[in-house]
Formats: sequence, structure tokens, C-alpha cells
Amino acid sequence: MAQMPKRVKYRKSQRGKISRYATRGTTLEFGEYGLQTLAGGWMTANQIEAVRVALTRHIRRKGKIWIRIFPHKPVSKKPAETRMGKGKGNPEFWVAVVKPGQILYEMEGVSETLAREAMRLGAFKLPFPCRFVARERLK
Amino acid sequence: MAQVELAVQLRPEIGGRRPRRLRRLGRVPAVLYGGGEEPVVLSLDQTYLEKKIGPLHENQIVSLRIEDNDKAHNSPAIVKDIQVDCMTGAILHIDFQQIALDEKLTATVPIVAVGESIGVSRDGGILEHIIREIEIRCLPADLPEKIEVDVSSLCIGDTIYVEDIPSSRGWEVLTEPKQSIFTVTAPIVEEEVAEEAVEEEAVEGAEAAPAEAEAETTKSPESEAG
Repeated sequence: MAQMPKRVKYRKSQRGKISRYATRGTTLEFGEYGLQTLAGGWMTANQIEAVRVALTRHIRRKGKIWIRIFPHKPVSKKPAETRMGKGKGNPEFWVAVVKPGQILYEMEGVSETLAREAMRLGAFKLPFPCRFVARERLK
Repeated sequence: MAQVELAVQLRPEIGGRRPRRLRRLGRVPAVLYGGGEEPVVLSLDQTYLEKKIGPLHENQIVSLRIEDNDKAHNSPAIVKDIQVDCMTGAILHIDFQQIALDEKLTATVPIVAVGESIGVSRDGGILEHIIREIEIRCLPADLPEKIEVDVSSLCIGDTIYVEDIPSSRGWEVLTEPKQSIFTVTAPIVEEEVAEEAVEEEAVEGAEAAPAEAEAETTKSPESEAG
């Protein structure tokens, strides 16, 4: 199931701008390995779910996965063949605003080779380049 | 823990864009505080630091050789924080805290699992790290780089708590004793079945949808006429 907020204060939001690198959520907090973005963008709820499915399938439920992002932002769209004006369109889907450097997923309980391959497959689902990161301290 | 000697220079200017300018010149800004004295702003040579970076990490005891014009003096310190650029991995800033070698200090030390637990190797469970660092109090000389915990005897459902770590090696543990560190959980099996069922339904739904749509289009003229 794609994620979405249970309740929001405002149904529609403005588009916003992604400026600079992420200053929070840039370190591994839960797992041993992670997937880090190298560019900013919107990640839809479907993409978040697609990556999760790709990761779980590849590791065959051996390890544990953490999703570090959540689609808080509603994106509205006007219906097809509609003239301009008459107000903002209806909310169509939800996205997570991602800044460069942010950790998207974390993984634990699997070997590095398996985690690396799973993250590689998961990254194909995303609209921006990502890289594999691991806790290197004390290794 | 082996003590590293770091040569640092006093930084005359602070604030604004100066740290950025300093980084452009190949130096890393740093600060030394604590010990009841005024903070001192410092800078280190980046290439020199990169050579030293192998052993340098947070909570490491270092001996700072502070060079001020012609004078130089040594000061023992602990690496309190290292700011790293999330994209390049370059060190942006280092915090040093002044320490007295004969006084106990509080530091967080990482915990590392040693061995493969039975629950993982035999039963296919997952070894979970609940916390990765614990807070300890000890003399700087006794500060360990890491604490190794043997997890080889853990079966599924077993947990190692903070109180299970022996504190007789010159340090006392300050973290909550009942806090769990490692636990072995059972592999997730139910999710697979549920997911596949949902996917099958989705596929069936997708196949059925065009047929329904066709049926609706054939029905609609009649309903409009009626």
C-alpha cells in the first residue's frame, strides 16, 4: 500500500523549491547500509513503495528495512482537456520532497553484497541518482 | 586507546565567511573548549588531517600541539564532534574538548557484535541492533575504542541488555541497564504471503477492469435511452 498522511491541515500545497543539500537525515541511524540520494526531487508514494518491494524481494525477507522518508506533500493536477483557470486542480498523489544527501532507505541483517545489489535494483525505480552507503567506522 | 598527536594552529579570525575561505585554502576549522577556560579557535591542515583521519573519530583522545607564532604547547583533548559534508565526505569542522588525564570523563562508545548468533545462522533470524552506542564514564586512558559483545549464543527471541556488559574494565556504564542492545527476531514470513495475495488480486482486478469498462459502455446508451 502506498503511503499517505492520515490527516492534513491543508488539502493543497504550493510546489516549493528544493535548495541546497540536506542538513538532516544524512547519516545512517538504524541500519548497517543505506541508499543516499545524490540529487533532489520529488519521490512519489508509489516510487517509495516500488523501491521497498524491490528491496524486500531481493533480500527475501532476511533482513530489516527502514524507510526514512514519508510523502507529506499533496500534488494537485488539473483534469485532461480542461481550460486554464477555474481554480487549482484536485490532489492526485502524494510526494516526499527529497534533498541531495538524504538517506532514503536503510537495511540491516544481510551481507554487504546482498544489500548493495538490492539497493542497486531499488535505485532503478527512482527519478534521481543514488548511491549505496555503509557504516565504515570500525571496519 | 592510542593517543594521536595533532598539530593545530590558532585561528585569528572567526565568523561570517571566514571558515569557508579557510576551507578553500586547504585548512579545516576547529575549536577547543572546556576545562574552565575560554574557547580557542583553531585550524588544521587538510592534507595533514587526511593522513591522520584513519584513526581519528569521535571520542578519541588526542594531544593537540597548538602553535601560536613561535610558541607551542600541548593540550590533551577529546574529539567531541566531527562535521562531515554529506555529499563529499570532507571534514568541515572539528570540536575538541579539553580534558584532564587524571579526571574521569563521560563518552559514548560504539558497541560491536562479535560472532554469528545461533538464531541467525541456524534458524534464519535477524540480529537487530537496538542501540549502537552506550555512554560510559572512565579515565581517558581507559576509554575503549569500541566495546565488543559476543552474540554467538543468542537464539531467536533472546536479548542482550546493557546490564549484561561487564563494567569491570575501568569504566562504568551510564546508560539505562534495562536498555536492550541486541535482539534476534524471527524472520518475516507472513508478509510474503499477504503481499503475493494482494498482488494477485491487483492483477485480477486489472484484468477485470477493461471488461467491466466495456460492459459499462455497452450498457450506457440503453440507460440513457431509458
